[in-house]
Amino acid sequence: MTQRTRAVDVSQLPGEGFGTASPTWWGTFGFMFIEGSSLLLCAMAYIYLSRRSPHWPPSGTPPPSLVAGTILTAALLLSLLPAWLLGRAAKSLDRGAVILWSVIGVVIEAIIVLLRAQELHALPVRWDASAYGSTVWFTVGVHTTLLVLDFGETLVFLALFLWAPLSKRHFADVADSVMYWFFVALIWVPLYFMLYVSPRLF
Amino acid sequence: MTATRAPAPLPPHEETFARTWASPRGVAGFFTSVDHKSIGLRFIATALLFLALGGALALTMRTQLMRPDNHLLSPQLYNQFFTVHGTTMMFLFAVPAMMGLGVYLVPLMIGTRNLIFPRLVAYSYWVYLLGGLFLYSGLLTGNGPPAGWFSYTPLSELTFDPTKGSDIWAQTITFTEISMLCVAVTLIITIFKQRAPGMSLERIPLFVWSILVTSFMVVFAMTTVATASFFLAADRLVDTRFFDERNGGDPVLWQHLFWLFGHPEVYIIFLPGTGIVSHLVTTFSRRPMFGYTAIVFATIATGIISFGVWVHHMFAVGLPQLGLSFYSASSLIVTIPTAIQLFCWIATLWSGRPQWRAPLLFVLGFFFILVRGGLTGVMLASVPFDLQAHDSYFVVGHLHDVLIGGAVFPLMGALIYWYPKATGRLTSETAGRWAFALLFIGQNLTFFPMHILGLHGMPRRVYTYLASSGWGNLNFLETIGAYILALGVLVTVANLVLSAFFGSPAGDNPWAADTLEWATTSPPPPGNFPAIPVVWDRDPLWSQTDPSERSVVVGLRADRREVLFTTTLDAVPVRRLSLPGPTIWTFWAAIGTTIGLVMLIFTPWGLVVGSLLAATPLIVWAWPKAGGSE
Amino acid sequence: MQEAHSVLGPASPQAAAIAHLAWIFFGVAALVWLAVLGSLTVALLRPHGLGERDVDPQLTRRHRNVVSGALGLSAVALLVLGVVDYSTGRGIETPRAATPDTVRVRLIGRQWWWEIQYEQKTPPYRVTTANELHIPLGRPVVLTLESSDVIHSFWAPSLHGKSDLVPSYSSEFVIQADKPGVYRAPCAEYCGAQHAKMMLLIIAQPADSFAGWYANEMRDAPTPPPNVARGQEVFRTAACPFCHTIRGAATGGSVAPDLTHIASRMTLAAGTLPNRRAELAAWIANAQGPKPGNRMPANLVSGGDLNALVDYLGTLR
Repeated sequence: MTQRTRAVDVSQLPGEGFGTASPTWWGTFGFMFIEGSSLLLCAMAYIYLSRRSPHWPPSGTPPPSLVAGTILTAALLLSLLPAWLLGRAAKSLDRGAVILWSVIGVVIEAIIVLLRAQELHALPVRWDASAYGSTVWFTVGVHTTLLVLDFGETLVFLALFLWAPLSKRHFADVADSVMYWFFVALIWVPLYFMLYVSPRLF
Repeated sequence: MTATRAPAPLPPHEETFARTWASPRGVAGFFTSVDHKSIGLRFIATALLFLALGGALALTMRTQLMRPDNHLLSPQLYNQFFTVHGTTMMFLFAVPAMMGLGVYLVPLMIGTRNLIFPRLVAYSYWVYLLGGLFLYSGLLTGNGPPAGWFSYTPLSELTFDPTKGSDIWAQTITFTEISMLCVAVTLIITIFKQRAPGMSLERIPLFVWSILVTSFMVVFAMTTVATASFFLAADRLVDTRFFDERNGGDPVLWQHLFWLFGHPEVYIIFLPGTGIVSHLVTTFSRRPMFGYTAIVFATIATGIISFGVWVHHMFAVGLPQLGLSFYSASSLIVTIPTAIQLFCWIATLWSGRPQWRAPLLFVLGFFFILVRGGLTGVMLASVPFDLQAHDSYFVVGHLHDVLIGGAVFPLMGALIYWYPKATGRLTSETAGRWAFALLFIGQNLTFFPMHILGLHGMPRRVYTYLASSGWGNLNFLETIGAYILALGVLVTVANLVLSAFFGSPAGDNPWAADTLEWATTSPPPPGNFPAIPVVWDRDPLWSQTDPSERSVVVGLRADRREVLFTTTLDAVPVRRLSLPGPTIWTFWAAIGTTIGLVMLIFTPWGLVVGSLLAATPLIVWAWPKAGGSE
Repeated sequence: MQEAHSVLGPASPQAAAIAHLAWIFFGVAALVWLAVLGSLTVALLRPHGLGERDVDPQLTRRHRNVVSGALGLSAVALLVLGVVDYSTGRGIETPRAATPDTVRVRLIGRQWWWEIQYEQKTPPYRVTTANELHIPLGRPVVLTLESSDVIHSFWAPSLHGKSDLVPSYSSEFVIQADKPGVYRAPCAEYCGAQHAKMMLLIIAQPADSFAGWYANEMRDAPTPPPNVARGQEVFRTAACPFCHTIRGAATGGSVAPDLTHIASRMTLAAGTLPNRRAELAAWIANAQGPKPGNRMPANLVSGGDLNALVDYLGTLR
């Protein structure tokens, strides 16, 4: 009985943490799960409807422009380098470097958003022309909202680092947002294959 | 509604603690509070309101069906009524009630002071409430969704529903999905990372396990229905062709997407019910749960398998025969984990001493009705039999057995059981017994005859029927049952309301129960535990009956809203975490979300407007304040 | 004739097999329910009375055995049920009847009535009627199920399970009636405002009466006797031919039931009303009364014209 009345003293534990010791990491991970599932469902709708149609894309509809899609995909993958550097700056608690790579990140993400707009413009079919058009637009569209969300997040963090009182947790939050950027970029790759490559292979 | 003891003067640490965790009072407090207890109670109270609304719709429908060729409701109104009834019960009552119970109980049961994203959960409540009001504003303006709670295409497409009804339905889904997803993610992370030291996985209370599994299911299932409802909304708003068979779409795609959500949805409702039953069985037999590990695995197994049975809602559509056999088998197998739970509960009760109080009666009602529902479910797993019973009143009987028996009865028991913890007063035992009797008799009288009606050829979703069908007598009986059921709900609500004023004072642990929520005062103070407990086994209050013996955590700051952040498996403290306090911006973010979603039934620009209007308060609420603590 | 519509009153080999299966499942379910509730009752009435902290290894071992045993029994019961179910399912699937005299019918679900097209290999290749499906006794009838608008479902409980009519899908479904009678088949998939009043009647007749009925159905409408010729004129000049056709008298639309032999049917408006003069008149005068929301407008014809029209339609046997 008495050997259990020990108190557990936690006053020496840190008040901050990175990665899995940060609630934001977990929240970001949860959001990635949800959005990833949503994209998976868009892809499943695309695949399901493709099997119900004799021709997919429907005859008369060309597959989307390989050039526009590949440029965007390449840009996304290339952006991972500055993103990774931003993450490293955050983990080193280097405010100056975080601001630098955030500015670069904002510029790159703005370019990518423009490239995505161009990609959408170059799609050979409208969303209301056929189920093929609907699934293509939706898949790209949902991914675009993730892009825009991340762009917004990068902007907000930049503002925060320029003007707000900072604590260690904000560096952790920047690191988590980099994880999210990796997710947005990498989840696009299988979708690129599905939308751009597979109609040309099969 | 506090315990009626004269408060002793608090030591300085506790005084600071009480001040740190206090919520603002009055109207301001109502809109800014991030206390999980207030928010949890709000979820439950609002869910009960929607239970009453959905029930009123049902009662009207049953009155219409009391006689053949009745003219109480026009077919258009009847069809809107059953659509809104189903949508209300599934989206606005059952899931929010269970998740709300989770919001209230989980931090108390795992020994922490708040949920990990308090502002997100506050936001979720408003989104839920506004979404529910939105649905009913549709009904009241003649724009009630008319295509069923499952909204099958093409009937819900613009061609066949030119009203705003199905748009309102689709956006109601979005409201509730946003709300429940935020709550689910918060609960998962809180349960993983904020447990009291020593509360390793095998010491987590069974209700918390059920909420954990349910929350995972919500993440997968509700994302699915949200995506599906976006497809439908887009088909109606901007002419996409997902379900338009003339342009490469497929109406059956809707069914796959919907039931991929819809079947896990019923287990999302049922599993917390089983979690509740585990606690009631333990407390009212005064025995630790037999087969705890088996129950945990059974809960997880049910959750996983429930994602593999959805085609049993589609046996009549014309899918390939081989596929149907797989889903028939999986639908049989999904009953086995539930059987495990049933047998463990019986074993637990058998080993102890039954405490005859109202919550135990609700457990008995649960057994009586849910087991019957589960067994008719086994019947429905058979493809040939299902092809007869599908879309007939047999299924209506089955689903109300499993949902009312499996979720509502445990919920009623839970309300009586945890009411003293939330309010410091006990409810009336007599009223509880009357409520049970009325609910039990009402449920059986209403829904048992439906199995017979279904086998006698009565289809579902019919606003009337011919006198020559011979269905009149049983329908009449069922209507009487429905009124008795309604009376039972009325007595329950009256009991809950009146006990707030007249209930006898409860102490910290009126039921002599075993889990951590009973270790703090009734109602708990803001911040729940001035001293966070340390846990050594599964039934901490039974092994450490003397409060002075209980181990506690020291070293958390009292001037910030500090909680402990621990490892996932063994709950070893890793760091201290400061949680954010009250803010009005969660309310404004919900308003922004609402404006966007309502706009979306008129124009796709709602997406842009809504995002901006919701994101701005969100940024404000997350923006750090000078001084370091938010 | 007594109209049959019960799963437990089968009139076909398939429905009989399903009813048999249902009773087996029900029997097992009832036993399981009694066993579970029985053990619960015993548990509550004769509990062992241990306390919160008591440990009784013997009791625990006994309970573990009982629970494992019960679980094993449950699994076995499910397996048995699964096997019985599977073999019933296999037994029900009728081999495709390829005989030349197999009756083939295209059944098209429409909001809120049933379009029926008998298909034959010789002219006129297709005989169209509505809402009342006659079939010969004791022989399989191959239905092709389609929908022109939303999802409906064909369900004749006394004859078979149900099968959906899904737009853009075409599925084959074989039914057979072994007892003469009138079988009700209410639409069994919610299809909008008047789903409740979309009932198909299936009339199973011995071979010769079916042949007679079919031969009559193939014929066009006879020239009306002079005293009802006015009714035919009313039909032609009112809005009726926009939607309805009377073969041989007024070739009109096909979005509403074919009326060539309307007087031979038992009901009107897909089972909504008995087919009697007064009901027919009331229906034409105001179709929105008995079946609000259906696609037939109200107040098309009245007064003397209405009487003449009803008289004329009454001759269309």
